[in-house]
Amino acid sequence: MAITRVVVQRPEWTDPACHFGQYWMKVYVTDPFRKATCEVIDLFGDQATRAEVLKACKHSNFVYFSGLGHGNPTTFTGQRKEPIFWKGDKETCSISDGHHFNFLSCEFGKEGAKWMAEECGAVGVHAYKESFIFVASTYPNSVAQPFFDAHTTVDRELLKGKAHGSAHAACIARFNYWIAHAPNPTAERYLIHDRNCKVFYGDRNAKLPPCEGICSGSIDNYKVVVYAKLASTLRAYIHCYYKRKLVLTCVFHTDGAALPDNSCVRGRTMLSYHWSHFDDIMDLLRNEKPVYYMFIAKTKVGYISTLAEPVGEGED
Amino acid sequence: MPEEEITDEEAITHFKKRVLEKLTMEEAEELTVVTETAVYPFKDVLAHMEAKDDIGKQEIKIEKEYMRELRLKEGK
Repeated sequence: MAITRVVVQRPEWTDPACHFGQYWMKVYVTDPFRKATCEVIDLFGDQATRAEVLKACKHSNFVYFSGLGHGNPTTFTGQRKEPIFWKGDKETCSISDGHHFNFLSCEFGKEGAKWMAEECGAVGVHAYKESFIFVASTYPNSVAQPFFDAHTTVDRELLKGKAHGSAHAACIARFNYWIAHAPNPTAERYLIHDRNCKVFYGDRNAKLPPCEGICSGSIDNYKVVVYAKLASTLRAYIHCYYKRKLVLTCVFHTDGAALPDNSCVRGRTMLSYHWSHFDDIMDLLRNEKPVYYMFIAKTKVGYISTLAEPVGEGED
Repeated sequence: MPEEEITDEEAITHFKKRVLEKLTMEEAEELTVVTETAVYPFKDVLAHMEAKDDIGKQEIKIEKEYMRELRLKEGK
């Protein structure tokens, strides 16, 4: 499995919001993801265009978009306010499906981000439902830093392997830290406003695959296909879904047959089992909730799991 | 605390007391507020609030959020 691709958008022209933001996005997003050996497509300045963003996000290894720009309730913009993603756009919807997003812009959290998650299958979308406001003096300075540090907590928590729900909570906690340690009362009041506008839509339990290649997520539905006699060793499929998207297929082969390697291609994990495990997997899907899956590309190990449960639950 | 319980005038008075009086003139002169639609010197915030223009309305709203946060912390 190829390396995880992260797309970072950092417009930069005479606009003060982007001028400050692009600096801190490099420090807090581009550099840490590069250090973690992700493939980072850093769309800076005149590269932060719709054409470049679409090109970068259509690559099969694209996983995560973290972007700075201006916005309104339905549109997120790039260099010189060129619209990049918007509600109702076919390309935006197609790129959303199965991917993760963090938007530092005004208002896109009101409608656009919600639409990407709820209508287009984005796994997780972080954004702001009102204006994101900050104070600054001389570029890039310590007065502006708390705002960008708090916002990019989401990026760094996701990079650490935390789920979206935890990343959102950590972001709020970081805003609270800076509210308590604000360089002056001016910054404090805007930090409170920005924190109150932060929203998240999507699967709170989902995580970014680490850069070395891990596919994981939740399952909320499944479908079973059991074959009649076949010439091959194939006996059955269990297709597993999250929010109607096919995320995992368990493939069952005749006992004793050589099993194909587990894999993950374009967000769909394939786990190989012998037929004798069919009842175990069915039992888990029927009786447990929530159910997660994981595939580690490096070792080709894959599994389905439950959360930790108290002992003795099945007694009686 | 519901937003409507704080009047615009209370928010403006609070801003003068709690924020402006705690900043030195030099600090206030140095700071710029950066938003989606405007970039303005922090020292002009009070004038915007009193004029109740678009920036002023937003600043009053922010001040009310700030007041609610402080009241929550103080357990009022």
